[in-house]
Amino acid sequence: MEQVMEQKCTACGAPLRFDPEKGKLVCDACGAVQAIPEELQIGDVDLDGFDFNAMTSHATDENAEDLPVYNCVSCGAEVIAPREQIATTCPYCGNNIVLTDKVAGKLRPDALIPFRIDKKQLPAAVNNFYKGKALLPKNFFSDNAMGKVTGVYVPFWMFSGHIGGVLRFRGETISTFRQGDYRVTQTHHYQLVRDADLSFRDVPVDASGRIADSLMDSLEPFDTSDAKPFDMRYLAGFTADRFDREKGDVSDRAQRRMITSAEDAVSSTLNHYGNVRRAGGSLHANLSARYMLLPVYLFSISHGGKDYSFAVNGQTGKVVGELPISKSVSGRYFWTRMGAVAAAFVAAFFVKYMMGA
Amino acid sequence: MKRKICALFLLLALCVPLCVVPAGADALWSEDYYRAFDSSDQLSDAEVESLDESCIEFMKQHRVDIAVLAVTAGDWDRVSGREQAKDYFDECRFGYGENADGFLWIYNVDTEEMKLFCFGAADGMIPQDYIDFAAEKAPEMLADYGLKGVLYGGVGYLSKYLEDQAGDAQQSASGGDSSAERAADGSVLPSWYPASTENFPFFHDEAAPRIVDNADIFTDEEEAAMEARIGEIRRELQRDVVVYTDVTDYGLGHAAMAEDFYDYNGYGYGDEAEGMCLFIDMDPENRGWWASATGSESESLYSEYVANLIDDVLYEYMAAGEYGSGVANWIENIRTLYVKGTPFAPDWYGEGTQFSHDPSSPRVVDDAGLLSEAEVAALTEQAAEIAQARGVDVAVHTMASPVGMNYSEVCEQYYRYMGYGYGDNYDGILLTVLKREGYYAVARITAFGAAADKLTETNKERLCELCEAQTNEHAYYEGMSRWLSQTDHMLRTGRVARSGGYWAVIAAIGSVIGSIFGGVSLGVAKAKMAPPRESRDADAYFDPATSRIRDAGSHFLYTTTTRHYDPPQQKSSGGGSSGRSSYHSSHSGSSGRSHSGSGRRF
Repeated sequence: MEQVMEQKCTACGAPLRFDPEKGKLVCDACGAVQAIPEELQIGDVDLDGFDFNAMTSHATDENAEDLPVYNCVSCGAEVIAPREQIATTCPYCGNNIVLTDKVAGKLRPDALIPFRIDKKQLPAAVNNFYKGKALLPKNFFSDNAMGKVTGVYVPFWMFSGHIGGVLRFRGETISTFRQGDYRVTQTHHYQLVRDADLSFRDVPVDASGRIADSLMDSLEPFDTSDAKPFDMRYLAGFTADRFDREKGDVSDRAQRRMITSAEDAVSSTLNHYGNVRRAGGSLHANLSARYMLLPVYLFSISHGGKDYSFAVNGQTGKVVGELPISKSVSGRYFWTRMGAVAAAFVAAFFVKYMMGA
Repeated sequence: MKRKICALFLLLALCVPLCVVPAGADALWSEDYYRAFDSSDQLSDAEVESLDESCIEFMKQHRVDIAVLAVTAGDWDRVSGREQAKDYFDECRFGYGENADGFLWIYNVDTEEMKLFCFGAADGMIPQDYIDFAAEKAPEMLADYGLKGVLYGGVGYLSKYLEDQAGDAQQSASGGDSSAERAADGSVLPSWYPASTENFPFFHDEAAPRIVDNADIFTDEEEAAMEARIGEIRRELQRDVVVYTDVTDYGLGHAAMAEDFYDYNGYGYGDEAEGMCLFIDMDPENRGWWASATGSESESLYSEYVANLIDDVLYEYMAAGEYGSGVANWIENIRTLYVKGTPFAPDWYGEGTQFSHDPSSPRVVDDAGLLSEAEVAALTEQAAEIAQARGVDVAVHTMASPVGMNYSEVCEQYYRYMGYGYGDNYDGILLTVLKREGYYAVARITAFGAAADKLTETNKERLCELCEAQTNEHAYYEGMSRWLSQTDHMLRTGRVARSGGYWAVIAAIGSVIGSIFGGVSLGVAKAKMAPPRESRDADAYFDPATSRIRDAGSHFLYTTTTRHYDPPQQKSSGGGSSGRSSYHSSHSGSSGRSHSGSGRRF
């Protein structure tokens, strides 16, 4: 049997959950509020020493009998959890439990950003997201209430470090002047060398293979200054996943993003040269990563027989997701604008004509 | 800027104790760029620095600059030509002294080819066989000492030669012959030229001939007629007009000939010797003319714009060999310039400056000869009917386009001169069709009083368009008749009628603009609904406080030059113009008098 931890109300013994608005644990039964102390025990985290292969060696076998079984501390029921899940709710008694064996030792996250947005705030945030989306089908708002909303702590690798190196460019400046009947253009060619050493801090890369990278990237930015050392009590009432992609597997994405930004920054110093092109040199990355859980709400809306997935940044309330475009609304949108402009144009000329102006 | 402070210290150190480099020597050379440059990146920064110092030492010792450039085969073609090398040398502000004396070694690291370019006083300092020998030695130097050795060798090799030469020169320092003075110029001057121009006593000679035709390009009759006409002008205006022709300019130039002939032969009226002189040089190798204006009034009237207009007309005659007619016409133009302030004004211009009523003036006047008598009569009748019905005067005038004049001012003056307009406000409207040979007709509308109230800018533009659409097809009567009928419509309704086709075009244009707007709006709306995408950069996580980007070198390589033939736009102020005249604004001639003038070749 695997290890679990539960959060119980010290007053009435009912399950506690983390309230994002209060930033504390609350008891829905008796209304008791319990603060999470700042001094938390942080286990020794050796991120570079993760034995990820060992941890996931049997994860490919999806037979139910191979999945770990947990006993709910509250009601004693057996709970089967996916390998990636580290926090869940007992389906029998509703108790919030954390699967402590998945956050112990080397699997223990370095930090997390607690939820700041409450579920109650989500409809307003989603409605705000719909604003300005003029091509949405008319009944998309009314017919499709948000389905089940799940608050998930999504595992991320947060990469920090330096991008450095020497880049060489060829560039030109052009001067033009007149010489008698000739227009003379002189192009001055230069070799330009730039030595760059650029720092990046906490570039997030989704460490869960179960959620689309594009969806998670679109939720950025997360404010890591608000991060807390990992404490299991923040997980109460939410689902949480552990990473299933090692940092070595995703470091390329972080490095690529940093190098793109570094190259843009270097190029911006060459603005007074024209026709600038790379002529050699390269940038090298020196990165480190920490394991962090970031707060995300997930839900989907069904429309026209298709499910549209949405995600909400649990820290900032930013909503992202794919939206359907209505052909009829699009057509109407085009014709009304076209007609209005054409009519205004003709009317302006007619008024001008009538006034003789 | 590379180590300017170091250069300053170096100069001070040399100037104070040794007095080798004179004061102000910091202007003798520039150290903005390294004198050693390696586009192949084989040399370290320290080696480039060291080579640069050797070049500077060379320059201080020999007072001639030197730079060394190692390039790849790809760059070789762009810098190995003399002009390209010179461009590079100049761009880097290399060179010693005023003439930027210096050497430039260029070495191709791929083909091991080496070239020396010498600029300024350095040109000729080194014998060619000596240079060739050094270039041949380059591969050996490369094998023994690498690229650095080749470039050092290039500097050292020249330094050795110059040191040897300096030694030789010292040994024979007492020799040498001084250069002789150049012989005085014995060129011939015209017979009328004074022996001395200093303190020349100016005088006025009323009896001096105003036509001096040494080139014999006028007939006796032409000469007599022009002399008589100039006499009339002098009496009328107290302004001199002189024409002088010759078969040479005696090497003085056309402008000096015109000015000096006028100044030294008693021409001009008043203290400032007001007048104009036209000198025509018939030398087949140097054929041309110069018209010189003397005196403040003449100079003021003979502006560059006016000079070009007059010269354009004169050129047509001169190029056709009609010298007598051309000069006679020039004399008339100069008279008109003095009288009316513009050289091509019609006779009536400036005569009718005040409004007046003259019911007897013809309402259709065809000075340009575009209409038949019947057409004039028909238009007169049509204009009279409109005038009667609308209570405003309606008139049509055709004339040759007045060159160099403001059309609107000319039209307004004609309106007043002819006494058009009804009532106290001189209500009326005048169509002027201006037509010049070889050009399209131009329509101008002048209105006063009640007619001006109806003639908005749009109506004016529309009426002109309607008229010109016909007159440009040489349908002058139809154009003017249409203008009259539309003017009637405007006076009645306040607007000029638009056709159905016009509105169809407006609707079509509106639809196109609307479609573009609708399409762009739709695109923007779709962009707002774009699905989530993976991030491509990490700009939001950039930490500027601990980041730096250093300029590790911005090295000039070479210059490419392209030349496009693109002559300045010529003024099309006259048919068959030869182009713009040369023009000298007010300046002092050899006599000390002030002149302005213009000239052209033919």
